[in-house]
Amino acid sequence: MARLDQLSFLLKSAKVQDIVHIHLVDWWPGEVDESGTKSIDDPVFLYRWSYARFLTDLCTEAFYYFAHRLQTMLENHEGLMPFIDGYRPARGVLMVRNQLLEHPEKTSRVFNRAGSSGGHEGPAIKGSRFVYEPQEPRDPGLYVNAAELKEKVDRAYRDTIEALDRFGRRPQAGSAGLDQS
Amino acid sequence: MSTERAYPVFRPVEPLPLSDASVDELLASLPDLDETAQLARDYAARVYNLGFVLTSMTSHRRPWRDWTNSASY
Repeated sequence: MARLDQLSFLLKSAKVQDIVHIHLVDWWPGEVDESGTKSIDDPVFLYRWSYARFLTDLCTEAFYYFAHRLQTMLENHEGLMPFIDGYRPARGVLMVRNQLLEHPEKTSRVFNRAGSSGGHEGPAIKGSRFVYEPQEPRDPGLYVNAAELKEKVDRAYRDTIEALDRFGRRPQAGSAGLDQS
Repeated sequence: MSTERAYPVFRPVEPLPLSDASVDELLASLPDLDETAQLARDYAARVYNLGFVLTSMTSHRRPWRDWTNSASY
């Protein structure tokens, strides 16, 4: 539960900071020359601009680490969470966390940290690559991965809640239902 | 045990040149993980009400597998 609240906060924060980063140039007061170019060398602007980018990246990377932890819990290898069984992890979160963030040495070999952001799919971890770098695997984007995660986790919880409700309605030993049989 | 907690509505920490309405509009396009968190709370409430203790189960003893034919997804 706490993990999901954290993930929700991180997802929203990444979105807002991404928008701030994109639009800060438009919002910042400044002169526009005849070519329509706005040149801003205000250190406060530069700080806010890079800070928004920093927060976008931080929230995005934290999202994948926390989401991986959530998926590990739902896989329930220790059987600590009653009735949760057979959870299949969201592939997007798994790939980004394992191949791009945590174990690039063993898997993707993508070491350039330059990400990409601003699209409808959301910030992409290591989304900007040079031609000589491995082009696969590619992060489809934070919002796409979050939607896949939500679909998987919702399904696991809905199935489990249904199973718990059935379990709660089961005939009890000594109850009327068993006595009649 | 209460599983209901009141969480504040999300707002950016720093004051931004974004109105509340535009923040709401931005966030409406995202996958709703708050809904998922509510499902998790519903699950925890049921587990508690049925008398399970979350940390007492072990993997080689999954009794709910015998009690239901559920969870095949």
